[in-house]
Amino acid sequence: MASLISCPHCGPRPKEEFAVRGDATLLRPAPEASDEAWHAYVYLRANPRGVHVEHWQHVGGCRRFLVVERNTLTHDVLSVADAAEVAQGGAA
Amino acid sequence: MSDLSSLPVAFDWQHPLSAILTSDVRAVDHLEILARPSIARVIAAAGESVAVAAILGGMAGVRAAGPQEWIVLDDDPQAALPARLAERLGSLAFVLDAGDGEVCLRLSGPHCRRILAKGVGLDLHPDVFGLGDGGFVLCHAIRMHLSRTGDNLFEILAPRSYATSLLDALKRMGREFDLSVGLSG
Amino acid sequence: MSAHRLLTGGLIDRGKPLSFTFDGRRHSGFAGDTLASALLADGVSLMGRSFKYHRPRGVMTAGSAEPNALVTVGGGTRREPNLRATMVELHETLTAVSQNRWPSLATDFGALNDRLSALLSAGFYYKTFMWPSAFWEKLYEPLIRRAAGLGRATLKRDPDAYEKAWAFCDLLVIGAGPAGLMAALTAGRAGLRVILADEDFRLGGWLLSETRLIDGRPAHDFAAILVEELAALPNVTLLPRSTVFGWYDDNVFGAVERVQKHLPIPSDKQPVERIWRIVAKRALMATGAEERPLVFGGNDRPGVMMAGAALTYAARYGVAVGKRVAVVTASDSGRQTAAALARRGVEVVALIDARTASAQASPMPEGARTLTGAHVVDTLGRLSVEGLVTVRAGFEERLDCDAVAMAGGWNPRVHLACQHGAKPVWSDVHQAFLPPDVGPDFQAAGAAAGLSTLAEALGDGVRKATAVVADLGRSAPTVPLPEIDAEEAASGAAASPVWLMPGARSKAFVDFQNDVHAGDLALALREGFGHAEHAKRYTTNAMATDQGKLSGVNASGLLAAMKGLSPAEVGITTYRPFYTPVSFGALAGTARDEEAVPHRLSPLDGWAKAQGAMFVEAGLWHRPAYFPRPGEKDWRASVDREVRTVRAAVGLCDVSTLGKIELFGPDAAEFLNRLYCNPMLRLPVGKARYGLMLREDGMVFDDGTVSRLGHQHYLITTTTAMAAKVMSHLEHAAQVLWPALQVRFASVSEQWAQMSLAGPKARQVLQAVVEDDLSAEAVPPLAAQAVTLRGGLRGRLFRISFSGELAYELAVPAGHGRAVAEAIMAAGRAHGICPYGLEALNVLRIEKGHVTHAELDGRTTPDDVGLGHMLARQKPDFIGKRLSERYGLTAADRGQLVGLVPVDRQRMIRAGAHLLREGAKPSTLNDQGHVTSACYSPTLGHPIALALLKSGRERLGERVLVWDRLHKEEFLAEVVSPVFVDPDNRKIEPKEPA
Ligand SMILES: [Zn+2]
Repeated sequence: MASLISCPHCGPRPKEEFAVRGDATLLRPAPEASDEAWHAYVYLRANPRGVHVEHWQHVGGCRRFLVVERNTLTHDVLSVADAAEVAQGGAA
Repeated sequence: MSDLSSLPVAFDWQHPLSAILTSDVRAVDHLEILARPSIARVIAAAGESVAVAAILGGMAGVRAAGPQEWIVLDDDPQAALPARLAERLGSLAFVLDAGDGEVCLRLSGPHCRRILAKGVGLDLHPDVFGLGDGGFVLCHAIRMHLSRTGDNLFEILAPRSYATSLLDALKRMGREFDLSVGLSG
Repeated sequence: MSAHRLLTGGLIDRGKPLSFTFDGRRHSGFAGDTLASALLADGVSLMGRSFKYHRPRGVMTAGSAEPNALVTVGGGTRREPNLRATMVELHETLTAVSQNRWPSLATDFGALNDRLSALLSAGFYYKTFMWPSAFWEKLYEPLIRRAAGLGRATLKRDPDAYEKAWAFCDLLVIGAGPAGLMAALTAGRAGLRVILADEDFRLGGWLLSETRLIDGRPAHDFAAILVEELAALPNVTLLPRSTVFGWYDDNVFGAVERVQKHLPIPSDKQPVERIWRIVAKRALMATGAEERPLVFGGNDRPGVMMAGAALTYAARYGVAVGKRVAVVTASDSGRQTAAALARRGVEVVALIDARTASAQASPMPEGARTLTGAHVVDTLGRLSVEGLVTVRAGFEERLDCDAVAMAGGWNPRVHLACQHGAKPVWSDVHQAFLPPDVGPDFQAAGAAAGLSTLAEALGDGVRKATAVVADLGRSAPTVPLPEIDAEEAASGAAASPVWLMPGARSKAFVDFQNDVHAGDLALALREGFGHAEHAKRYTTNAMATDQGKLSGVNASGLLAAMKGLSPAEVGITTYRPFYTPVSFGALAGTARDEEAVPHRLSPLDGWAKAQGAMFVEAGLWHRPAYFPRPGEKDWRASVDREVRTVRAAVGLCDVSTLGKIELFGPDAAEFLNRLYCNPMLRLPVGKARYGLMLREDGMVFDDGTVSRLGHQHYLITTTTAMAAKVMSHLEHAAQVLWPALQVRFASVSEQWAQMSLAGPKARQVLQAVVEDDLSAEAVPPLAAQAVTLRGGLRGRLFRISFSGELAYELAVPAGHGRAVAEAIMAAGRAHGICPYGLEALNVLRIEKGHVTHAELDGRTTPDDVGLGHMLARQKPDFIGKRLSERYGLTAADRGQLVGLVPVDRQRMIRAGAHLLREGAKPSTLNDQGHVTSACYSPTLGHPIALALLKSGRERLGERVLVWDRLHKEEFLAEVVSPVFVDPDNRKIEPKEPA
């Protein structure tokens, strides 16, 4: 993991201020979705070598959930964005 | 009914750090514990953050506290900020009284950056963290709000329950520079 | 004057003599000495015993690569083992002792290992101690550990302070030698924020050992002038005594500063060591080069050392390492060092050059013989070198000398740049491993980049820093390069290094600290461990505390030579942090003892202390466990009394630590409806409701209350333990799952002091401090309202009970909490009020069958704990809805909450005990469930427990076996309803005013 994450609200901060929440590409299925979809959402996780998109919460700072795109191999952080803004396709 | 005559008619207010030992002499680097500032938290209602920011923009003592959130502070305990702001902002924002939940500390002196560097992983150089800049940071595992209010002046807002631990940490951080501690007022 | 101290010169303060002891003997040195230089000055060449063979060893280097001279410094609480004498700054009263010897350094029984060395070949441990395996643990390992020799740390508490600090800069320069100083100066003059760190206590690096003049003045004066200018620049921070030990992601560097390790008694105002986390936009690795030992027979005898170190002792410390020094070399640098030694007044008796024709013959001092094409095959002497044996063109010759300086060429110190996985790059031109290209943020400069002359290093520092300055958008000043007197010419193509001098008559060591000799590497190769990484594990080469700073490259070169390959093909072992060892104290920083984690205090903490509370740590909180009174013989007596008081009269408990979150907005109700498994949409204003949150997998996450304070205004509470997790859970739901919902919320846990007043007299007591009407009509069960206290203080009142008694939770602004609690106590005195703590709270809820995290352990569903009726399956969606419908979560044989009463009413039940069918064989195979909570019930007069038992609700009246294997207990208990007290809930609203 990188030493620093650049929070879009707070600027670069040490990784100790953040808590990982896991794969950010998973979308919560509709209540009536199939058992398989729900099983996959709750239990199945990829462990990619290379680019990974995760939710990290800036718990020690602004407490926002962030979508962090990072490379598990090189530890490079490729992009960081506010999760709510991403979910709403732009401005919150 | 119980004997009410022995009961107080008003309930004392107590600062969480009221029992600490303060320094006899004020050193060049000093930590001031504010006696009882009026503190309000302002959370913009959905879609109203621009309007709230515009109103708060004209006020003193406003600290940015993350997206769509602000902390407003007045040293005067009689300022009644929460009520005044609630009235001013109406349905634009939710206003919470934080005067009992937060302690406010002001760190001043030539070494305050070096003192803070022992706990805060944030570049506090004035070119990077300028006058009026602020945000929540971790300091020895305590989340606190830090803002620059002067050249050699920083303001800290921290949760009441952590006040003793944070003060202990700040004293350790300042020991090298003989940091003094005092209650204001 | 000491035996080996030169009459003049050196950067020592001859006006400040310092006395110290080594192995109990008194010695003296000067300010500016290291322990090693002072010992050498006093003629002490034997400083340690080697790890495996216990061979006598002397100092080899003058720096941090030292493999041999490991000592234990200080005594009592400040005893610190394994310090390199070359890095220990001398101070008055310093005490040092040698290690890995018994009974003394000169007479060491462990040296028998050396005689037995034929049995102790490489891989010996693996081969010999493999069988039988039990012997390894019981016999071999303790024996090996006792014999294997590093110092012992003190077991006493470290009296000193340590800390960590952050630093930020445009340019971090690692190493304050010629390249580093010039780089720092260039960037500093350009206005960049510069940090210059060096592991030495004096900045200057090789300039402090250089014997030529720079700009007409001694090199160390030149360095001092640069340091003076840098120290005066406000944008430059100098960090002497600071080792940059690690390069981490995002150009964050770790450094350890030895702030006060050089002082006899450290001040308590400062840490003794400080870890710096340096965030650098750019960094330069100006770490210089390490001289390479030559591998020849007897090369480990005390008195044999690196030629550059011999020169450093002479030039910087004014110490002649011997009266008759022989220099052994395979490169021009050895010749230059020999000449420099002579310039500093050290008698060089011979220069033994392995090369037949020297590319660049420096003039030799008078009286020194030059033997070209010669090899050393052995050294003479026992505890120190007395001579050596050379072979030249088949002719053997003995030479008398009392010190041997070896110069095998130079290895750039590339370690930091390789810590992200990049490998050093072998250069045929340099005949050395050079740093890999790791991008523009971190570059090597000077000797670390493979440059070999002083002029090149100075110029490279300027050039690399100028590029950084430009890169960061500033303009660099012109920094003129100084004139060097008698500059050496760059030696174009270096001669092939001599990895092993042939014909060794005794062990030719490669790794001095771990006693790996050339023969061990040959054996490794024969047995198929020829790759550098394999050979390392097989022979332990480069595995000692010096991490092979002297041995790594030689091992690679030797293996390559034996295989007929290039060192590039053999490779070099991986470099990882830390560059040199870092103390545990520094790594812990301030995070030790009670300061390791912050603690949280309730606004009623002062009140509880005044009431004589005994406290317990609950997470970060300090919470009152119970309030003992005089005459109570143990905690149980206090708890029993507190419980009885609540059941019969009234008690006051601090519940401020519960998480409290306020929510606002038009969608707040919908948001809560999706968070809790039970319905929330129709909760009336002014009412509270018990709420249960599930995880998405259907298990219970947390429980608490939801109060509707206004139309779009809610307050929820969480358990103390889960407060932070629930807050994150809400934030995740609001920001990630449903960002379109118009809801805002904030934790208000810190703002409110909250106290629970419970017992039949609760209303009367509370009415004394609250102005509003508290009658059952005005404040019915589950009321949640604003109240006004006497004097006009505004608070919040909740009619919530977890004990089954008439109970209120009163919240007031935290600053008033203590005064309000004291007023309630005063008002309750006539009613026999008592404060009660966590223990009584727990008994009260067990008696009433209320679950907490003992039952809600992440594996239980609402139905398991008897709350299945709360699941609102008719709701379209809530977190956990879908997966809570799975068969496994609704199966009839799941563990279900029941009560237990021991058949023998004296038996205490312990939480964690297993439940088995009566008569079943005690085995987890027969497991039927477990006890989750247990206590003595003062209300019933016997022990009770809550348990999760398979199909438990159908088994009321059955007897089960309570089996606690840990405590060797087996006894019978009866399965009963989990509600032990007041099952009909009559006490919540007493009929008669009590
Ligand atoms: Zn942030």
